[in-house]
Amino acid sequence: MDYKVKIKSKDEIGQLAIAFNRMTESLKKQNKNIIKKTKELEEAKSKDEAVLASIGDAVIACDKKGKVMIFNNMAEEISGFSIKEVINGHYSKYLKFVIEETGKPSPDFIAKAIKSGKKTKTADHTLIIRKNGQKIPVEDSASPIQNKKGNIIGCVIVFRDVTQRRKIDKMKTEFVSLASHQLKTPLTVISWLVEMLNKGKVGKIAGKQKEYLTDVYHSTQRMIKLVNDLLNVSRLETGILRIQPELTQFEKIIQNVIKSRKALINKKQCKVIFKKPKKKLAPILLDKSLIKQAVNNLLTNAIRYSGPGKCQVTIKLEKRAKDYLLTIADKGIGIPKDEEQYVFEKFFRADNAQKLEAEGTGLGLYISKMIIESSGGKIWFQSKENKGTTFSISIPLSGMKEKKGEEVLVGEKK
Amino acid sequence: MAKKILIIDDELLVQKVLTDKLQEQGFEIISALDGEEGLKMIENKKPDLILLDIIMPKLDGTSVLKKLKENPETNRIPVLIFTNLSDKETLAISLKFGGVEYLTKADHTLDDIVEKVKEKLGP
Repeated sequence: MDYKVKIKSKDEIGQLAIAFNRMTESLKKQNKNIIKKTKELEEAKSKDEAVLASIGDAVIACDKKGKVMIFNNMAEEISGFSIKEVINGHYSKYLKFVIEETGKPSPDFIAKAIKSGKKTKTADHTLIIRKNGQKIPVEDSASPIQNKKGNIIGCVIVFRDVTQRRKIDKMKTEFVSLASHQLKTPLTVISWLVEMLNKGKVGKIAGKQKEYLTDVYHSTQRMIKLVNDLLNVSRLETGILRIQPELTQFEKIIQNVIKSRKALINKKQCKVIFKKPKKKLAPILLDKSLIKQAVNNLLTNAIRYSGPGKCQVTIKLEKRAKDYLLTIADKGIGIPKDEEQYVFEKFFRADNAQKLEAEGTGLGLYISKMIIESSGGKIWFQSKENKGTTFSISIPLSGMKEKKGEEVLVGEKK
Repeated sequence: MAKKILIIDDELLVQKVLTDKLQEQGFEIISALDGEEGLKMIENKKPDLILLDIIMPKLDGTSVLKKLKENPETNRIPVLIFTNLSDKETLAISLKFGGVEYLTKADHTLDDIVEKVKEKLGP
């Protein structure tokens, strides 16, 4: 481009030469510009790369076909693979996730994100298998990358090592478990001593004394119930709970639960209607103690959160094409719309529920949800404030899923 | 003659309430505060029923149970495991040996316990 044509003539060839020279000039300028822009781009790129490299979470990007394009430092550290090994290879060769409890590969959430165009997350208790075979607990998500036209051109995967958090969670759970056990002995003794006093065998208990002692007894029972609930939560959360289904008559379980709540039903003058399936069900696989606990929590709520004088609960059990559906409908105070999303959260109690009933731990629904979901079923509700709530449980036709574990729920009387 | 019940529990207050309640029901009560002492009493005093706690100093309930089951002179004595644990291990122990049952303390009233004791002792 440094070549310049010497112009001698003013004829056509001369004019052409002038045009040629101008063109060379402009090309020269453009070239300079390109070099400058490239330099700028490179700087920006290395800045982006530096940012990407320094992110405390593993960041991986792949194209639509799953070919790895970006693999940052943390990704190298957690997975044990170097960027050189993985770049341009398929992510599934290097990113292997398994479910902690079963050791089986977890569902491919990356493929799902690319296919569905929606952000996906791995289930809880996911482990990544490192290059050296070591397993690390991780938490991750995959988000599809879309171009301006909205087409999916790839996927970005972010995950982090949660070993430390797990340790803290475990300590927390163990603490709750220990504290609960230690609390139970003195609570038991109080409750027994009050029982002795109230019987009047160690001296006559009159009027107010009896009333107060009964109050002490009930408060102690409440504390024991709370401790049991906390223990159960810690057992459910650590995944050590055993699910042991056996062939059971579902209708009978529900009748038993209703019977066990007789005192509460009478106290609230509640009308409880049980609509059984038209045809008697064949026995199905249920963990008796767990399903009882789950149904009991729903029934108790339905009764307790019915306004005074209008307590009516309808329980309906039916067999559908793919599952058994149990619904428990009340005409109670309902769940405020803006609080619906928190209903299954641990320790949550809706405002109106707290106003109506001071007692309550906010653990019942959480426990029910954990029980139902960890055994393969579903739980949900529909509610209208001041009109009532309907909770539904569905259990697959195959029944509750068995799970090996060390512990059973506490507080289940014979 | 009154039936003899041995309570092995390291909690003094648990001992006290259970003793009072069961004496009131006409039983003879002897007690030990740890597994070692308990085992000696089992061998020397031959109780008709043992209420056995699990977590105890010196010798825990599981070991006491194993030892008394190994001894032909004591292996027929009925045992009520009496604990606030309710895990697999305790359940497994109670199922492994004949004549052994398992109760969680906090979930039973004294009347429940008396009933259970009478049931275990038989007529």
